[in-house]
Order: sequence, then C-alpha cells, then structure tokens
Amino acid sequence: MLGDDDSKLRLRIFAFVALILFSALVARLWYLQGIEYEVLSDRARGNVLQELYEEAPRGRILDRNGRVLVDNEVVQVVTFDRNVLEALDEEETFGIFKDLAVAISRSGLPTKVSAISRAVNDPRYGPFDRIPVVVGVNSKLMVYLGERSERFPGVQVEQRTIRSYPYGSLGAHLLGYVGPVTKSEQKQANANLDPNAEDDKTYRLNSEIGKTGIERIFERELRGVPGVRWLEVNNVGEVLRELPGVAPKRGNDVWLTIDVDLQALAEQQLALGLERTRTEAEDEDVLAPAGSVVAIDPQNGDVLTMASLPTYDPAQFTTGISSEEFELLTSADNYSPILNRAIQGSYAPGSTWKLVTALAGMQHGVVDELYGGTGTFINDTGTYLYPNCATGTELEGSCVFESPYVGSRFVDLADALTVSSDVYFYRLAGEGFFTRPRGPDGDEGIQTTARSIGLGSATGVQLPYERAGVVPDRAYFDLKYSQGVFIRDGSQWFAGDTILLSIGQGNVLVTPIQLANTYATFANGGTLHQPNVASRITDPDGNTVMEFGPRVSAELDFGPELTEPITKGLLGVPRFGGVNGTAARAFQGGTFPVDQWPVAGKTGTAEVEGKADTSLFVAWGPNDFPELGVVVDAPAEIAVAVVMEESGFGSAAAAPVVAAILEPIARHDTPRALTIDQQELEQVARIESLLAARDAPGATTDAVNGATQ
Amino acid sequence: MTNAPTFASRPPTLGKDDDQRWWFVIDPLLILAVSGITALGAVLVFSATRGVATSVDPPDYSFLERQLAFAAVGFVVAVLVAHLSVRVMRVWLPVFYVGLIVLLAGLLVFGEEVRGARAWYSAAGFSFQPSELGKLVLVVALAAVLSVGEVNTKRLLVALSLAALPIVLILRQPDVGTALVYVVIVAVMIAMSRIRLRFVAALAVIGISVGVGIFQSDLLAQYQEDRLQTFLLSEQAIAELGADAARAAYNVNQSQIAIGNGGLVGQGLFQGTQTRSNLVPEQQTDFIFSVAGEELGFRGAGLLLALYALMLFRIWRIAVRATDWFDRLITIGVMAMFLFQAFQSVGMTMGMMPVTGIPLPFVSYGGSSMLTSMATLGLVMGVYRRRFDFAERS
Repeated sequence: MLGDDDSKLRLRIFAFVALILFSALVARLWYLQGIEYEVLSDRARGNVLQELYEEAPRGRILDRNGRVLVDNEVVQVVTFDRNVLEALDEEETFGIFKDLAVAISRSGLPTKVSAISRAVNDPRYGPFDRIPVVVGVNSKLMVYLGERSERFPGVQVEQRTIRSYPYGSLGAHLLGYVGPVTKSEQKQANANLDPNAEDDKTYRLNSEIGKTGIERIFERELRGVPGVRWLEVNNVGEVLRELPGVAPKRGNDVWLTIDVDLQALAEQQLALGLERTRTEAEDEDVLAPAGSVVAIDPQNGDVLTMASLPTYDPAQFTTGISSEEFELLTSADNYSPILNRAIQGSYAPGSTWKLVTALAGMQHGVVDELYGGTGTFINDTGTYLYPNCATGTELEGSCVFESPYVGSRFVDLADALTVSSDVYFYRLAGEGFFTRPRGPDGDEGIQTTARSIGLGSATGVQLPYERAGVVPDRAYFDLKYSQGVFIRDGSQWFAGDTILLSIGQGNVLVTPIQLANTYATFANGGTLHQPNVASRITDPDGNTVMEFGPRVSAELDFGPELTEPITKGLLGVPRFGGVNGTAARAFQGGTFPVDQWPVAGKTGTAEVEGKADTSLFVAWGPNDFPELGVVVDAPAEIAVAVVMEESGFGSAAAAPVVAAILEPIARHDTPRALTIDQQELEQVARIESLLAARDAPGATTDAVNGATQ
Repeated sequence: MTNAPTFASRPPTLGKDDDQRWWFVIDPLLILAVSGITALGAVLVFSATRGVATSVDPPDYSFLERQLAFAAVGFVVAVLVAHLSVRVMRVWLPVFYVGLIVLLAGLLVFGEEVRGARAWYSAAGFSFQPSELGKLVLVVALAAVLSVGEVNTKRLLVALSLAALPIVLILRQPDVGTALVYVVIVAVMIAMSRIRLRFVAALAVIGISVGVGIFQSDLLAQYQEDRLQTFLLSEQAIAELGADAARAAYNVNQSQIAIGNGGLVGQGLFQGTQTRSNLVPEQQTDFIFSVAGEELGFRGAGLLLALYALMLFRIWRIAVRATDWFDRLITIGVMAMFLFQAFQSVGMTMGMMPVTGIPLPFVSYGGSSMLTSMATLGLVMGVYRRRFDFAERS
C-alpha cells in the first residue's frame, strides 16, 4: 500500500472527520424527525391547511302540535372570492363590481356597487371564505353568471341555508330573530364553550346568533355544529385539494307550548281590537298604537299565546337588515315594533290589581277587621275621603280619592270586583292596611301578597329581557330616592300611596305575562308556575333531549274561603245581572256563551300621565258557576291578559278582544292558522272559484269585483 | 517518507488487457451506492416538480425526464473519464485549466445573472455553470502539482496559486457556496498530501484569518454576510437584518418543518404537504433533502445518508488503495468535494449550516451538477481501474 504510517494516519483522521460529520447529520435528522416530530408536523399542517367552517342549519322551532314556526330554507347566494382581487387593479375591480351590480339589479334585486364593495371588504371573512354579496337571487341570475364566469372572476352562486318563517310575522317577538354575531357576543358565547368538545360550536366572526326571543334563549340548542372543510393550499394560496372534513350537524328543534292557531287568533283579534279602538274612539288621545296578549294554561303554566303589536317581519333579518330599517324597528316614535310588550311592557295594572288587593285584604284579615267580612255591603259614593288626614293643612286636598263612578251603591267584596268599585278598595287600603302596624305583613300586606303571587319579579319565562315590574313599598321608595329618581324616600310613604296602590295606580307596574300568570295562579287555586314557552327539545332524529315540565315556584293554597268570594265577583264581570259587570257588554252583550263556558275576569283602566288610559282585561275560563248551577267538567284551561296602550276603558277596548279570543275556544272551533303559502293558495282558489261563478250563467259581476278588490 | 509507489500485484485471474474493458472501472458497491442515490434523487426531483397533479392537471414529467437523461449521459461520461489515462490527463490539464479560467473570467462579462450571481452561461435553452465542471479541473490540477513529491514551499505556493485564481473569480460572481467547495477541496488535498504537519497547521491559521478577514471586509456582499449571520442569530435579530436574511431564515425554517413533518416513516411519496405546496424554496435543487425528509421520513432520508456514507467509504477505500500519489490525491479531492457538498447541502436543510447554494451531488436537479458529479466519480473510477499493477500502462 501507498505511503507511510503518517499518511495512513491522515487518511484515517479524514475518514474519522467524515464519520463525525455524517453522525451529526443523522443525529440532527433524528432530532427533527424523532423528537421534534409533533411540533413540526403541527406547524406543517398549519402551514398548508386552511380550515373552512360551514355553518350548520339551525334547529327548527315548532308549536305545541309540531307545526313548524321557524324553518330553514335554501337560497341562492351570490358569493365572491376575495383572492381574485389581488391580481386586479382598482379599475378592474370596480368594473367587476359594477357589472355584478347591474346583473343582480336586472334580475330583480336592486343592488348598488357600493353595497357589493362593502360586502366584499367585510373584515369578518377570512381569505378563503366565499363572501356572500347578495342573498336570495333567482336561478336565472345563477345561469347568467355561470355562463359569464370570465367576466365575473371569483363570483359564484352558492346555496346557503337561512331562516324561513312559514307563518310570516306570526309570533315574531316570541320567536326572535337571528343576525350576525357581534364582537362582544362572540367573546361571551365562546367563553362558555369548550373548544375541545366533540360538538364544538365555536362562533366565528361571520357566525349567526339568536338575538332575541326563543332564538336567543335556546341559542345553544338551536345552533348546529359547524362543519369543517380542510383545504390544502400552496405558498401562493392556490387550493391543491380538499381533505376529508366534518359535515355540519343541524341544531336541535325547540317545541313551544304555543298553539299556532290560538296565536294567529290572538294576533288577529288584538290587531282588530286596536283598529276598532282607533276608529271608534271619541277621545282624540286614544291612539291605540300597541298592545299585547298573553294566554297561559293555568294548570301547568304553559304559555299558549304571546302576541305583541306592532310587530315586524323576522325575515327582514335573514338577508341582512339596513340600519334605516333597524332604526324603524327600534324607534320609540314608531312604538318600537321590536319590543315584546308581553314581557317587556310595564304597565300600571289599574283595576286588574283589585284581585291582589282583595286577596291581600282577606289573607291579612283586613276585610274582616274593617268590614266584618266579605259579605258586608259598603256604601260606594264614588268618592273616598281618607279620614285620618290632618284637616286644615295643605294635605287636605290630597286626602280625597275619586273614582269614575258617581252616585251611591252598596257593594260587598264580590260586587266591588264585579262593578270595579274603587271606594271599597280605597277604604280597605286607607283605613285598613295603612293604619295597621308597620311592616311587610301589616301595612304592606298588599305588597306581600302581590309578591307572593309572582308580581314585582320576572316570571322566569324562558325568554330573554323579561321585565320585573314594580310592587312599590318603602324600600322601593328608598332605593329610587337614593338613585335620585324619586323626591320622597321610604319614610315619606303616605296613606295616599297605599290607597292608590289598592286600585293598581301610583308606582305599581306589571307586565302582561305577570298579569296572566297571576290570574292563572288564582284560577288554579294557588299554584304559582314559572311559565313555559318551550316544552321540550328534540335532536334532528326526533329524540327528546330535554323536557321542561311544569315549573312550580310556590304552592299558595288559597283555599275556598279565599277564592270563592273573589271568583264570584270576577264571574260577574262579563255578565249582566243584579249588578252589571264591567265587561258584560263585551261578553254577554255579544255572542259569548257565558252560561255554558263561564268566564271570570277583571277590567282595568289605568291612567297614564299625558296619554290616554291603558286598557286592560284579564280573564280565565271556564269556571264553575255555582249560583247558576253550571259545573264544568274540567279545570280552567286558559287565562288570558290583554293590554292595549292609549286605548281608554278596559271594558271598551281590551274586554272585547279577550271575548273574541276566548269565544272560539269556548265553542271549540278555533280557526286553523294558515301559512303564508297556504294563504296564497287559498286566495288563488277563492278568486278562481269566483271567476268560475262569473263565467257560470246568471252570475253577477259585482261579487267578483268585490272579492278581487 | 518514500516516493516509490506500491503496486498491488495483478491477480492471476485478470487478463492482460482487462483494465481496458469498460466494466473494469466498476467498483460494485460504489456504483450500487451512486445508482441508489441517483435513482432516489430522480424520484425526489419528480416529487418536487410534478406539480399538484390532478385529473385536469397531469403531473409534470419534464424535470424527471431531464434529470434521468443527465444521469444517463453523466454515467457514460464517468466511464469515459475513468478510461482516460493519466498521461492524457496530464497532457490536457493545462488546456482545461486555462479554459476554465477563461470561462470563469468570461462570466463576469457574459454571464447571465441568476439570483444575484453571474454563474451561468445560457445559450439555446441550455445553461452551463463553469464552476461546477471546474471542480474536476481543480482536483486534477492540484493532484498533479501535489503528487510530484514532498510538498515544499514552492509546490505549495504553486498549488495555492492554481487554486486561488478560480476561487477569486468565483467569489467575484459572487458564488460563495461554490468557492467554499473549492477551498475545502484544496484544504483537504493539501492536508492529505506529503506535506509536513506544521505547514498544515500554519495554513490552517492563515486560512482561518483570511476567512475572518473576508467576512469582516467588503468582499462579501451584504446579503451573503447576513445569510451567514442568520445562521447564528435569533429570529428577532434576523428580522432586523432585512428581507433577504428573513427569506433565508424562512427557507431554513420551512425546510426544517418539512423534514420534521416526515417523522419516522414520512408523509409518503408525493404526499408531503410542505413539498406539494412549494413551501420550501429551491426544493428541487439546493433544498432537495427536505423532500426526502418529509416524504420518506427518517427511514428514507436515513437510507439516503447511508448510501452517501457507503459511497464515501468506497471512495476512501480506493484512495487508501491507490497505487500512486496522483491517484490518491485525485480520489481524496473528489471525496472531500462530495463529503463537503453532501454535508453542507443536507446540513443546510436541517439548520446546521448556513444557507449557500450548493447542490446535493447526484440528487439535486441540474445538468451541470449531475455531469460534474458523474465526471468526478469517473476520476475515482479511473483510479479504481488502476488498482492493480498493469505496469506497462501506468
């Protein structure tokens, strides 16, 4: 072999160096691939995989009989791929937007270039999202755009799922609407979610969320599980392939306690009632702009109907609502159509409160103490002078309490309710409650009773933003005084405050659902429920995943000695008789079968400063009527409260509406509510039959004209 | 130290003219290793260049075809080079050397600038990188000078001068990576020659000083300095260095992600997401090892390294068994070249070495690189051919 030991050594050293270098390479290779594999492969995935979220259809909302109130519909959406803009200059971009706006407008949806450019630049969308530009285009446009893909780069017509409302605006307030999630909503909603859960419903910037009503309160159930698609993209953003993803999963269905037929009837009758009040009112203050209806099943607290007028069309929100439109829905000048008056309207209850005062009077023994019993007749002269007033002082004038009644009549507790005697209750409050020892069970007995029956606090119905109403007392005065709202604190609670409270005036406020629930509680003998609007939740396969039974919050157990005198009085309200009930004209004076299906109710006419009175009527039925010998087999099936703003007397405006709602129930012939589609079909059928009749010999053309006008 | 070459005597089984037969240049294990590397390389080049390959967009075979053609032509060239006699090589050496210098000098005028360096001649769709084939010339030239006898100062100076000329020209392009290969070849060949150790030590000191001097001076373009620094700095410091440094850091980063993503068994051929998405720049040339790492995993990339190790070991063995100093130094020069290029190119993809544009021999896509690798292999095969004493022809 060539060379000596020295050169051999050098060759060996060289080989050794080579060996070391290769060992270093292998070691490093092992470090990257064996040890750092997890970290680096994660980064590799993040490098090239784009996650695309596909919103799942929301669950449906159904009425108590399974009729679909809120559904999903597939619509054509023009979408835009922002990526194509990168290669275009400003002028080219504008050109595309302009052509697109023209094409969409021609297809029947007037669209501005600025609207398209605003949509495309919506920062809520990621680089690989297809951004919806216009929702609900027709298939003609789809074909038109499809044939001209060269002229409209990045534009596609896709199908998306949006909310649909088969019954139009029916129950809009109760159902609520959905809209794009806001930053704070997103943060709050995601904070409550477990991102590692299998059914991760994490909200993206462009997710939708229930904003009000059922859509909001059952958001977690209604929201489906978004699907994920993974796109492999290269370093310049081209999509290389789509990897297997996860399909979106539809949300759960919410079954309501609402009966759609009754809901339609209530909304229709309330609208008619407001309309009638407006046209027939002699007082020009009576504008009758708004009102609400709540009906509750007294036996279990199920809300059967919840209506609020003015209303809105929730479909407005499905395609994006303009700020002008939203302004119209929220503006007070427009009577805030978005407001659900049934749970958010706070009203002085007027005489409907007398149920509470009567109950309190008996519960606390004040009726016995003062009057010697419920059957004692008291002289109602229409005016009450509080006797303990310091005469000769400035306060003297404020010790006179008047009522709409003028004359002289003798009323016991039942009659006082039937004819709505103020004096009976004024005196009960003034000489009774107010003179009793101070404290919740003494001079604040009316308030104690009111609270025990659910007033002054939210009913707990499964709806957001419910108001609590107000049951005023000294503590409430203290609170408002400390907030600088009232000029008097609790130490200045006067006899007048108790006296006004007794007839539901002063600072007392109730919501329509509270009224209905209070009467429902009384009607069932004292079981206070938290009303339910939803009865159960079912998954997309129809399996029940959650059930809301009756939620009893208190058993008050009034007992017949309490309920009988009051019920007797309230049963007289819709009837003529020895004393004429305040709602007799609306019920017995009309076609209502008061003898077969006895109704107990109470009118209310609450004064509102600067406006016409609030008209109220609350009733339940059917109820046994022992004096008449009427015994109904079943317990009361419905308690309903109607409140109409700026509508005058309860007997004139609200009572007829209640009568009109209850009458079909009493007769078991509630008309079947029709979906918008069914209404249209029926309209077409009607016109066709009229046309056929016209063409038939001997038909008059007048009938046809009348029908088609 | 003896000057007399030691010849292994010709085994009696060999015929008298057997050393002239084409197969006599074939060291089976060496050729097995190189064939394996080349085949694997072609597959990797294909994976790196085939594109997305969908039903509408068929895979791009053009790079694969060209690479296979280069390899085939290259192997023929290798066999031809292997059959060159030492005498012919010595006679033509000055011509090749002068030709190389002229071509390198010409680049400064006529060269096509690609990514900041004038390293290529381009004509009629072909491009040619003189500095690649120049390695061959350098190895032979140095071997010729250093093999004459004991390396004294005069010979050392001659050798250094012969090496310095092309190195300076290459640095002017500027192509630091290739110049570095030249420097390594020169350093190793000198160290392995019959030179006193204290010369080697002195040269090492001088070499390091010059290296540092160059780095400190303005001879290197700023981006080259930055790239070298990138290797040493934190990410924040890199960001402050600017776009080119950040890009270099990005390359290495993406390359390491790709390799790590391979894990033990790899993502599967054509399945590497980093590769498919072209996230590693120059993935078919300088960064090709990242493709091996990602798609073939530790098993495949390790196999590739093992094949290189086998190849280098066989070359080393040929060097050890060489029958004269010219042959040994040629072999050592070639081994140094392959060793350094492989280490640099693979090490760079794994963040062990700074980013310099050096191809991975037999694997990186490119004609000049493949032909140079094959031709230098041919030099070694020639030495192998001369492993026995066919005295009359040596």
